Amino acid sequence: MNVKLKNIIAGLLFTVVGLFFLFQAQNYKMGDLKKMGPAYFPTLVAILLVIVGTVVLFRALRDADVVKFTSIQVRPVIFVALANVVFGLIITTQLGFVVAVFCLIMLANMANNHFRPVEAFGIFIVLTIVTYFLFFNFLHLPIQFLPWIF
Amino acid sequence: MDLLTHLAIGFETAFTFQNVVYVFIGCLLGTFIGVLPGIGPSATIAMLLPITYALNPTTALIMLAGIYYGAQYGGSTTAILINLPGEATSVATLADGYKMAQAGRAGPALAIAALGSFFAGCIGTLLLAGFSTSLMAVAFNFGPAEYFSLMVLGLVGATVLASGDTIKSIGMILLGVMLGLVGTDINTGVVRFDFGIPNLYDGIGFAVLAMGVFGYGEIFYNLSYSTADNNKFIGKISELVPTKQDIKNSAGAVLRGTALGSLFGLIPGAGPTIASFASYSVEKNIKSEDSVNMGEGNIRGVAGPESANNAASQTAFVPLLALGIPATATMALMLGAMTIHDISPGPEVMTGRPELFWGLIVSMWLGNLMLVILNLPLVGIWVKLLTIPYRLLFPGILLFCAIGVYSIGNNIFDIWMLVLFGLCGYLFKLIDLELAPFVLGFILGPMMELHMRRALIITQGDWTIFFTKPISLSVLILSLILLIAITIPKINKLRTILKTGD
Repeated sequence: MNVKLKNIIAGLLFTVVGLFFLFQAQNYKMGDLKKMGPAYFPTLVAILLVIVGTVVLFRALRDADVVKFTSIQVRPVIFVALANVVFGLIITTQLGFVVAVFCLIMLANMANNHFRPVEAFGIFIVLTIVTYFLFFNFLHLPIQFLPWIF
Repeated sequence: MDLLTHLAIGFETAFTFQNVVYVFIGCLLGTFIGVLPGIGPSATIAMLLPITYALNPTTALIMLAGIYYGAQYGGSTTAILINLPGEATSVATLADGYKMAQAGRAGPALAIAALGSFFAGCIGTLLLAGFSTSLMAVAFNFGPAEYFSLMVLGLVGATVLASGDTIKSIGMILLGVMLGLVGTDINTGVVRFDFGIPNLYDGIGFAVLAMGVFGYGEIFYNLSYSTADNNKFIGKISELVPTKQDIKNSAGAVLRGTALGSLFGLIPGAGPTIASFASYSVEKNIKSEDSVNMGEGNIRGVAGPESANNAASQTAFVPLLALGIPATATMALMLGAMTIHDISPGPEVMTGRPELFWGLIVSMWLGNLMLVILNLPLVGIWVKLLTIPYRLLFPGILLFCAIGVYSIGNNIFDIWMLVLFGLCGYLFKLIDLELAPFVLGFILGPMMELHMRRALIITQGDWTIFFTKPISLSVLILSLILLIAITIPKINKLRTILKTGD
């Protein structure tokens, strides 16, 4: 990504988040300087954020246009996020911790361009042992370790 | 009580069998993870936070101190061996450290880095003890107005000294502050910005945010964007002991680095980073009859910056311990850890819980000592770790962060937040937005609001209190000077020079 585009995105991000919080804040009581309500400080910060965002945005638009895109791989991002979500969905169910770890490792391995099942299985075994000792033996995590059938 | 009595309390606390073991484990884990390619010190500390939750507060902090030093040292090791700085603080070491490694002298470089750091750490710890006690004595008179102004200074320092675009750093601070305000307002009990999600009533968890942006964000970035091949180091470390000439050459650099580091560490913002570059610049400008030029594998280029960043890492604790105000992202992580154990650092901690305060100080020194005894013999193992390909490592980081956040509150919601903040961290990295000001803003934002409101309640809404109290006024003026200073071209140039070490 070129510098100009980066700055445009950054400016937009600041402005949009600022505006969003600015409007949200108006749901709460403003109060006055003597007794500030819950909306007072957030409103100040949000306004500053919008100002900074606008400055960044306009400064970026003024910059010379350099079109140069570096391709970003989407595959790893999707698989890593998916690994996390599946892990979260399984971890407290009857399937137990080990199954959740297994799914996480497999999906994470697919984030690479080549899926290596044997390697992933090896990582799974090592990490299961390490996490068992650390989180179950030492920290006593209150979740089911093995699937319900065991 | 004088310093010696205090230190005696500290030694008593730190040198219990349990605490020594935890400093040791902390250093070991910190170095272990810090050395792994593609995992910086901030991510290391964030990742290991949950492990300390099960411990009692004193032991937890002592272990964290160990993790902190280990992670820092791990970053220097990768800088020297594979030309990959873990964090900005070891960038200055790159040039000469990596050149030394290429010339087959990685051993002496690592040894000097460890020994120099240890020396700097000893001095830094003593200064930390001295400075924070005297600052605390003053801090007892600080009211909300002073605290507010000091936080402003802290945030201004973070932007001015941070690398990169100043206005974008300010934006990141504000963004952090905004997110920090999510949750129940302490003054009125009103729930703000919860978007109807009950899990947000208590605000966004610091550990979740830190693990997300540092841990997950790094993974996303490394996998999808970075083409860096992390196996550049192939050679073996045969000789570890530095020659007499090495020690003779680096002694001066260590001393100068320590002095510069101790000084720069006290300045809010990127203390250790600037300190290491300042030291590098000084070494570069000193005339000597060295056989090797600076930048081509001169040992002074390792000894100076490494001592400087370690001394600064110590004195950077001063504002955190004395006032409860973190000055760097790493310090924000330490503060986050303390908050989870219900410790709010500041003058009260030293008087109310001296064993915790002095125990921590002594264990910092112990942590530095551990690094020397631990790292030099184990350097062979660290080198092997460096050759592990990233694809084997990142599933472990994913898993550790995910179970880690879950284990804090037994709440699956935190796992979703983790991936969300991971994506945020990834986006920030893609568009060159810095994480350090964001994290600092997140931590300091709610504190600023609290102190601002308190100050204004006391004065019945008279905001001039920030300018009429002498300490508050001088701190604000200092912040203003800092802000104006970087708009002056000459000073801005100096800033760039400090950052690149030219």
